[in-house]
Amino acid sequence: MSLLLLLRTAAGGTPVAQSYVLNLEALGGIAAARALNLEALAAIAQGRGTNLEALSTAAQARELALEALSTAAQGRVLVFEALAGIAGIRVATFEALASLAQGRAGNIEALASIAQGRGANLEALAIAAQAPTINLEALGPIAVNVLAVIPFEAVGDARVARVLGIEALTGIAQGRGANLEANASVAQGRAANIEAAGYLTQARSGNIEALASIAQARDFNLEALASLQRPVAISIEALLSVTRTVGGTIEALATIAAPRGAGIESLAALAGTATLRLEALAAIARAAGVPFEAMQGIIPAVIVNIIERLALFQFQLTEAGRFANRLDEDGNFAQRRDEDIDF
Amino acid sequence: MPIAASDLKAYQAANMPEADTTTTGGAIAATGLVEFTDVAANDDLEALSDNAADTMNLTLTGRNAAGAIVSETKALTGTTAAIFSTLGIIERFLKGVLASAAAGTITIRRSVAGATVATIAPGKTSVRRLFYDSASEAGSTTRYEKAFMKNEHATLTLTNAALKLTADPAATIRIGAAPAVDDSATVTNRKTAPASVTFVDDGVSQGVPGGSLAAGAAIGVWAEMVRGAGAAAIKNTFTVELSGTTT
Repeated sequence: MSLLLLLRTAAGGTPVAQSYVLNLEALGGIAAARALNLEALAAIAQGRGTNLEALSTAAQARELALEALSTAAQGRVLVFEALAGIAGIRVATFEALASLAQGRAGNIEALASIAQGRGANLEALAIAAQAPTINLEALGPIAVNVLAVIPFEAVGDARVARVLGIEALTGIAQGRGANLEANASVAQGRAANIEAAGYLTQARSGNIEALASIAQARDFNLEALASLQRPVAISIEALLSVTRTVGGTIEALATIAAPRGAGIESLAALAGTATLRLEALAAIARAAGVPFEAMQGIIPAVIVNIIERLALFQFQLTEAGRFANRLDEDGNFAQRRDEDIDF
Repeated sequence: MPIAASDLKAYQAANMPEADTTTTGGAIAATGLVEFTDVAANDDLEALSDNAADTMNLTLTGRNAAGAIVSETKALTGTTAAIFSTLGIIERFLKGVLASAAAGTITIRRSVAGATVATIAPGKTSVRRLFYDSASEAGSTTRYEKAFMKNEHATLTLTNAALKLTADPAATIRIGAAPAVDDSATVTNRKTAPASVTFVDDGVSQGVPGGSLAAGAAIGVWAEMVRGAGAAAIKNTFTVELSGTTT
């Protein structure tokens, strides 16, 4: 007898494997990897005698940080036009350009050509202008042409610090809503051409008090002030305060006062202290609708000028009538309605 | 009949990016192949079928010696090789795309009658390179692309299934198995890492989720390519192995 034993075995599974070769590519990111770090370039330029024009050329080709370029430029004698060429074609940080100009004798015309092409921050330009020896007239066409509403004080601050051509300032102010007070503060500090300031004021609602404060501080031509006052709504009191201080020509003042409702009381106060021609005062009063009572207050004050002779004043007060005033040899006034006298 | 190595296939994912901005990954695209043998030297290409009826258009794309991407679409002429003369001499093969699936096997080879670059089996429509037109950048850059390994055995399950990166000559690749078999996960673009994928380097076997690949099932394989800041250009390969056991 025998035993048949059938044994089954299992050795798991048969191994199987397949490999696949996959191709790939990755280009060398040349542009990205070698993207010029301009800050680094600037740092280099500061430490050696680089050709800044080369730096400019590099900057033009990429989005540069102009601040970095400025930093570089400050450390060496640069050709400013090169920097201008850069700023002209990109959105530069104008403040950076300005800070650059401060540190050297930049060619401000180049800066101007930049500013004309963009909405420059004129404060920055002004700060720049204060430090170098610039041609400030260049500032004029900038301000006229830039679209930014500039604080005029900024230009003013610049002008105080140098011998400027006020005409340039005028040209600027005409083109925008300037703050004339700034102009005044400028003009006080130098031998301004007041006619230019006058021309400026005519073009806008100037604050004549500011102009007056200018005139007080220098020997100005009042006729210019007069021609100025005509088209603008001025405070005649301010003009008077000017006239009192300086040796004004009252004819000019008369010309000013005539077409407007001047406060003749103020004019009277003026007459009391100024060396005037009374006929001129009369002409003023005649043209303006002044109350005669006010004029009466003037007469005693000016009597010293007319003693020994007679003065006749005519005043057109209202439609109601005309008055004649007579000062006799005794210094007394006589007043009649016009129907009582023969003019 | 046990599972043979030839039953384990590699395919494209539905979204194979050609830029850093497009959706990447997705489900398996079983008509797209990922394996070819690049031209060993600059050469022009020709293509032919083993079926005379195949006259559909084939578009070949490569880089010329200057590095530019060049392409030509040409109608196949059956079993007669069609030379892609307009494509010209190429330095590398990028992709081949058929306008429609061929009846026969399409062979793309160096011209004339040179070494085979790629074959497109009947029913398949394309073969391509991964990380197409990618490039290093100023900083380190990581990109991800997806392929699939599929068990095409009719009935048998590949047990103890695992993936392994077996070769990475450029030392730039890691791979990671998709978190599920037959998944369709995508990423916004190839610079975005896929979720729930663990990447491993050469020689590290990574089990297929669930441990096996049933007949007809596929496992997504994410390839991670890291290029250092300003890294030099590479044209290379990496080798992925799908292994397991079969009865």
